[in-house]
Amino acid sequence: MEAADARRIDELVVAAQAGDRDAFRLLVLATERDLRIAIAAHAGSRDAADEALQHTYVAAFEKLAQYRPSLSFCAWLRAIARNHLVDRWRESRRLAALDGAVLDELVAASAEDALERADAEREAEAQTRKLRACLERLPERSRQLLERRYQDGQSLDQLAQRFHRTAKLLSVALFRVRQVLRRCLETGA
Amino acid sequence: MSPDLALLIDRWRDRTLDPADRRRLDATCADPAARAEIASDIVLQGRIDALLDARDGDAVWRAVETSLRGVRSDSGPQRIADAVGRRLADAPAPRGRPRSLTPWVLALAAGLALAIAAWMLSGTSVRAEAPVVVLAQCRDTRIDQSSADTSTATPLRAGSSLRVGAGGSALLRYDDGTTATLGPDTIATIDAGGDAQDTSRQKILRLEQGSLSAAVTRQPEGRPLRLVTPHGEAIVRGTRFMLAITAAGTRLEVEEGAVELVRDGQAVLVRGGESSLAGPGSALAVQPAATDLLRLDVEDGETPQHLREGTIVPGPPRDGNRYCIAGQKQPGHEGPANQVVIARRDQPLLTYAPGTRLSFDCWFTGELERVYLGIWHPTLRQEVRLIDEPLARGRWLRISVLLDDFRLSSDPARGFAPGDAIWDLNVATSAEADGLLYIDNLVLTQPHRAGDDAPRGP
Repeated sequence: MEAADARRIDELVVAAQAGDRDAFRLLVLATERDLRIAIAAHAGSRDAADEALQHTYVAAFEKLAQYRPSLSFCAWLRAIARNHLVDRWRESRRLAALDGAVLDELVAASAEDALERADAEREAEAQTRKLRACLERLPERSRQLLERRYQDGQSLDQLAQRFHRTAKLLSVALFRVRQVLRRCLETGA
Repeated sequence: MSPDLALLIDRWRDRTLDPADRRRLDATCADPAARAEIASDIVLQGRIDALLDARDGDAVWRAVETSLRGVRSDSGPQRIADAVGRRLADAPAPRGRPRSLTPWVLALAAGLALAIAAWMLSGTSVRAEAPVVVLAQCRDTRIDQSSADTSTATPLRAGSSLRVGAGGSALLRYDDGTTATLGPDTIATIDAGGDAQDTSRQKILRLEQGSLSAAVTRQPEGRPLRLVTPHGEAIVRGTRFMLAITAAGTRLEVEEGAVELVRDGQAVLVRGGESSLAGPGSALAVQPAATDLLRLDVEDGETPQHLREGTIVPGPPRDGNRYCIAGQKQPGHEGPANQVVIARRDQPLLTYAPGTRLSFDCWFTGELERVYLGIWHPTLRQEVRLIDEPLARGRWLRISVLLDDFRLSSDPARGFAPGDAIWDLNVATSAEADGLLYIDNLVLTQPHRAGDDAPRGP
């Protein structure tokens, strides 16, 4: 984040702390995209990311007086989001105790680790820049498939119904597009 | 990563993973290399999701703003201190007192302001009324007369009312992991005991009509979850259970743990596998939750005597299961495409009583198919049906329905009446489909009848 942006966010925080709700709205608008990118990587689904985002801003609003400008506001939001995500994954693991739910624990650990690192914001920004470039290089059909799945937030079963294909076939197609993206992220090609 | 594993991850993201697939996925996670691959794929999918998400920031703000209704922020300590200072400074000086006291008043104001500021900084600040529960998922549900937004989780405060429609459901999630699922035609009000600003208040759910099932984590000592119905109250300390309001009263079935059921000052403790009914004119008593009327697992590979249509086949593979029942094709028939019929030859399968439950595993294919369940009603001489639209195709899914919900297609207000003889049971796919249908582990249970065993009183 640019220094000017950071200064503006600090000004908005001070105004919001003084009770200006519109300043808080501007804070949400200024930070939600970056926070969504940081959260979505560890949320497991769009619904979970939405819920975490909403929870984070509501908790931030309620605890606004506890925020100290010495800390980056975005880092503070990420800390709230991280705690929420880790709690959610652990809760999910507890509820699914009979099934083991190793994957939930794995994602919880990954979220805890990734969101806690000091360079998390910088790394997320760099990855996002690269990913954006890689997405632009995808063939049209691959991009359309990704858009249906991720832009419209449709489940595999909804997609299968829409495209008259089996869920497995679509999952394989999506998996291949992600492999292309992964290679692009690793090699830049 | 194999395509099979990718499919499991997609299912996991969509929350449509069934328990067997979850176990496969968890088993795969035991391999460190696979773990790293899976974690990396989940992170990548999350990033793609966030980047391609077409919604703008205003959508997020609208969702946050809805959650913030009625919530006050901890405003800055300086603002509070200033306000207190202003109030004291603006107060008229008491009559007869020398004006020279004004500096003392201001000094007192400043001191008080600093004390309040220090108090707030110590974390014991004035807090807003906390949400009691989050409406995590829902279908056909209204909150306080408005349609609930199904795309975002909605925090609910004490006093919020929920009305779930005939085809709906609503999942409530509390901060401590407790979940409650409201069934169709349910009216409930969120409530909470204790300090309105406390985030861990006693959970209270008031159920006017309908049903709910819940998984309740261990509740704090002295603050059990309270479920209040027109007939009594269930006090829950940590358990899995089902509660339904019927014409006879409030019926409680406990799967695991224990729930105290209270009515008119009388109380019984209902444990796992037990049930109780709180209703007018009946004393509270505890009974076994249900009696098996029929159980078909066909694991011996033999055709059971009650199977009138359908064949025993290995079917789609499943851990620990060898055989299942395949639906019988009905070529050229205008009715179901393929079906399984269960019936006895010379006598009814069962006599209907409220709370009779049919459960079975189901596997079917085809995009256009629906599963319908039909029961021939000999008195009405019509089939009584329940159309079910399972979320998943091409994998095993457990279906569990109450016969109370079956309705005549010619008169949806009518269903079974207690004492009706049920002769046959038909599980089928719809006529236009040409897919496959398999069912397995079919169980018919009925609430325990009075007199089957001596009930345990309060």
